[in-house]
Amino acid sequence: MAGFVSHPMPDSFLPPIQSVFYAVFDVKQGPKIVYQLRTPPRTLSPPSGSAPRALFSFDDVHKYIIPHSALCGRLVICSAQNYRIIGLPVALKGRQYERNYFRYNICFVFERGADLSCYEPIVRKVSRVLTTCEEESRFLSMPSKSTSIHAILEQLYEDLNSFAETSIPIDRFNSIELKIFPFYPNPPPVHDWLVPLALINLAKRIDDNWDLTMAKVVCKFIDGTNHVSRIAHLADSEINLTRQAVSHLLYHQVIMTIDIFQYSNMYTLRKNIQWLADEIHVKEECGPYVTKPGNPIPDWPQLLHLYSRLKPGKTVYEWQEEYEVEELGVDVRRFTSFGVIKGFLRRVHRWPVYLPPSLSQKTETSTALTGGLECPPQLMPLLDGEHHTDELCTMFEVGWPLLEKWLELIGGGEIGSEECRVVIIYR
Amino acid sequence: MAESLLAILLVTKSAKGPALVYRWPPLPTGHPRLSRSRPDDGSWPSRIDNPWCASHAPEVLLGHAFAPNDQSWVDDPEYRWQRPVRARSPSNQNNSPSHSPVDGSFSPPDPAPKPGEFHEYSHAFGYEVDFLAGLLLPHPSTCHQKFELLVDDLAFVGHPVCVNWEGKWEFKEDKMEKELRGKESGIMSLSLKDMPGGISITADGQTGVDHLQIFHVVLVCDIPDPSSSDSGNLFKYFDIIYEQIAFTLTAVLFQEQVLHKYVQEECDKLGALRDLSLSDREPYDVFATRCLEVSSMATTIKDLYEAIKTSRIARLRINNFPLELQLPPHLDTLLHNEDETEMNYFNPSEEDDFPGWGAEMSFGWHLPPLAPWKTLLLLDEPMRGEDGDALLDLKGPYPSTEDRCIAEGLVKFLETVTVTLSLADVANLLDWDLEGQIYPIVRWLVYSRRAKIIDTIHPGLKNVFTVPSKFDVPLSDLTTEFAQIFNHPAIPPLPRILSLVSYSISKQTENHFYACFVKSKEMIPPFHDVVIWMLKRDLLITLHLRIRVVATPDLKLRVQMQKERALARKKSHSRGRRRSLRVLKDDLDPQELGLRGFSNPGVPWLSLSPKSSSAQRLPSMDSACSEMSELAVEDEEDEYAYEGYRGLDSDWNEDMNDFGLDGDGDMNSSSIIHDPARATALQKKWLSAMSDGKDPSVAKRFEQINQYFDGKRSGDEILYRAEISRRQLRETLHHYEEYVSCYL
Repeated sequence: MAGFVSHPMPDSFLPPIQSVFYAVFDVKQGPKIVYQLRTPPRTLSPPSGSAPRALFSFDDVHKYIIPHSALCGRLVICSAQNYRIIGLPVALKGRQYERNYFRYNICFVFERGADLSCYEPIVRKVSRVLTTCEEESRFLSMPSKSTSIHAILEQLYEDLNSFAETSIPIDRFNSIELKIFPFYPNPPPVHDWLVPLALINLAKRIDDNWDLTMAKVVCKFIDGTNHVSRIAHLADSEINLTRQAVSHLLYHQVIMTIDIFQYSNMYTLRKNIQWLADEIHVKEECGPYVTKPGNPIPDWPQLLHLYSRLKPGKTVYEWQEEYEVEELGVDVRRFTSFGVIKGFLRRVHRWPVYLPPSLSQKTETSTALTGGLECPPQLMPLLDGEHHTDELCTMFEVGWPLLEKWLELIGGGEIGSEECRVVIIYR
Repeated sequence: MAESLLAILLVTKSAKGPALVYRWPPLPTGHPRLSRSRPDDGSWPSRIDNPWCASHAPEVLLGHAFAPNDQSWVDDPEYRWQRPVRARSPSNQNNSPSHSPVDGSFSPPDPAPKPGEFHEYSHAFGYEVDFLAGLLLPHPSTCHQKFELLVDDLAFVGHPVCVNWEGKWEFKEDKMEKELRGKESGIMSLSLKDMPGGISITADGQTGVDHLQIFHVVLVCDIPDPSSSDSGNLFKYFDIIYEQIAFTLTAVLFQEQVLHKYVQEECDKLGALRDLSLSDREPYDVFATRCLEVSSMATTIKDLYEAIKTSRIARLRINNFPLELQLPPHLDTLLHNEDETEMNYFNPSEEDDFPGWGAEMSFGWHLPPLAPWKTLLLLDEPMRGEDGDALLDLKGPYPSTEDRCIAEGLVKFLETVTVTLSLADVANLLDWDLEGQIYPIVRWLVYSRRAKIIDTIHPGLKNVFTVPSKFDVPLSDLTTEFAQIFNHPAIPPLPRILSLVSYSISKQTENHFYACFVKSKEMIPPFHDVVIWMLKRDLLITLHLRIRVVATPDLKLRVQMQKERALARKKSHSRGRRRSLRVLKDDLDPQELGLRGFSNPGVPWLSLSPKSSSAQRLPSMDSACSEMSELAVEDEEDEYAYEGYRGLDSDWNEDMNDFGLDGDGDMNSSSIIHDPARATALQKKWLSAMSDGKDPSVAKRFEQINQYFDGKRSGDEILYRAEISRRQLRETLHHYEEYVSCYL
């Protein structure tokens, strides 16, 4: 559209509104646009189609804008040429109207490729408020009052495009208060064994009005080492509420979750190391972050080499011993969490699988179950390769060393040996 | 699969008005929604029902907390959201004639009240079918383009087509040709020029105005929970459904309508049957099933729906015109948050943009790059059968004598291709062109899901594998299937194989499949089958060697020393020259500029004296050549000195850029040469200095292949591109081990 000057957008993730218009069902003329935004000019054609450079022809879409009553009260998004129109048609009945009904719609026009999810609540609310005004004072249908709708359209257009929020007083009792919020997807489920790690300084953001659990959880215990159930324990808060608090922070993308650091953990590189290794923010931040204070900072090739030697099947402890990481002054916990945070390292879990013995072997296995230890009977059915050891550890509230012993007890041999009936898949 | 697809509708407008002619499934239902937020499973005991909580023991609470699942809330009428069914109130009926707007289509005449059991005939998705049909038939001026309408929780996607201004079904000359040519699948060979009679053809022997005016195949999708996916994905999702299904199907139906009045005839049949069923008081689902017997169009719609829902390729015949339709196998991932585990191996931004696959397979396929060093794994075993069978099978839905030649070539290709031969090898063996002949076949086989691209398997199974972080099928099912197929005593159970494969990578040596399992040449064939079986089910991922070049501090120092010596030589050589130039050279004394030592690369820049900082205004050769440059004044008087100076300047300048921009400046630490193919001058010096004292033949090879040591190219790619053997690569890496960093 030539001549259109788009507004500078403070938040580029919001698609700019191309036009706003107010349409009614005119008792004589049928569906028609009453007011449309005049800046920029020539946005929409009037029903007659006389404007030379219209975004689209109203005649093509009027059946979705002022529709049959079956479609009224529903959020309708239709498309015309290169534009997408979102509106919520309203049909009001009443004896005060010439034909006992009044239909109108306030529509917003966007580019066709725009994502409108964050505007859906806006459209619904504008429609709701104006319907209330109409019901209370015939704000829309009285010819003397309806002119003010143009000012409302103008303010909607200008404010939402420029500031992503607006406050439009309509009368003594009603006003349109809008703010467009960025649309985040739901966060992944929060498990008890995950460790929240703050991405911003959360303590600075907190204020007195925050939820109590959130205040307790956030202030003290999100430090990149405590896992969720430990936080609940330390904060003396209910585990479900703690999960919710963490989930809420995840939703706002101010924390991320990593694994519990243990020397028995295993890690491996992700494919994206191929290009992340060349990124300045990775190679320059890594050394200072992972080195213990007072030690010389190893160079990036050396650190990258160390990362590349983290493999499934090799615990952090074994790796640390083999490559003399301790001597380099590298903090192993920070070393692994740096890789996880940057996204080029991932945790490898152990997924134990129990292989049922053949008939001849059965007695042998049962006699093997006579160590001083007893493992919980619920464990065996979970050894199907669908539950990893972190999950089992938190479920039975044991550490990996004891769980490993249990698995060896069930398997009748050392993990990894030929005779052991419990095998571990590292993935 | 499109998990959100609810139904496929055929809507028409004829002389009788708008009509929903057919729909499949007969009684579509959307995904359940809640009208109010459900209490969170975990927290409700502590929030919702505190008195009850207080009177029960914590154990009881715990049991109750986990008891309700999503389904129970869905079943609860208090929570379940019902799509409002607009009952016709008496006042509404009274009003309807007076509402009647200019366009009668959106206020259809009220049908006579039907008995309750015939509700399905008159309603779909909570709307009256006549209203719905009117809604889905756009203004004729907006026909022949994409149709997209979203109402609350439903999305309607289609491509309505209509008669021309004369009321006849005809091809539009330019536009349709363009649209048809834009598509590759099914109708890719269909061009209007190929059709008998040329452009403006209509059905044989039929004249006059057609009573079918518009038809519209509409795919109805349930709009998924917007919070389940990242913003913007939803419309991309509908776009793909439109492009791959709605548009292509409509194009063929339109062609058959123009040529044979196919759609009109089918609609007539279905309309007649509907009237009959209504008069016989048959339930709607019986009517819908009977339609399948009388109408090939109904069968087509049903087959298409079922193929999409089961993630298969729909092989349709529309009035004997064969058509294959499918959606990308990973389309639904658009609707879900990216799973971290999948990102590891299938990064959409990296993999899906690979150009070799063409537009149709560029999105939602999660395909690895189509490259000469890859190979093809055939998924469909019967295809490898005897020639006759294979030919029959491979002719697919386009059997004609013209295809025989292509089919024979295909059989030849299929007989040649094995997982141990790369595509480049296959091209060599068949003496075919890789791009022109091999790739199209590969694309077709992958598109029709008969094969997949994998990494070439070593004939002796000496590949290093790992297992994916997620299995598509439960491990227990895979284990059972595996045990049924492989009962050789030397083959361990599947979990043990997976365990050992996943563990093997932690070993420095003997970590390939042969060393882990096969161990003797006689066992290669059975284990080869095991590997193939696992590859088909995505249980193995081939790991690749990737190499980076590292410049060590020693090397850097050596290069630095060499350069200083060279500079000193140049300087002493040109010192005897003109006095005026000497001033300039003194400005550029490398010692003064801090080149020597470089203990801190940042400092020399900051500590430049005003005198030396004038040299900083010489960032390029261009400025030296510029007449405006104060340095150009003396140049013409001494050509030699100028050249010498310019060379000096450019060297220095490039080196400084290296130090400043690439962070390579610290002489005391190693640095990676990220892209040796585009090495800077200093990096080139480092690369060549690495070969000091090496065997010339090895040094030459290193010089040739170090351009591929960027940490991104796999070992297979390097071998292919550099045209060297695995042994030669190994030898080179061995000689340069202090400068290369290898990882899998």
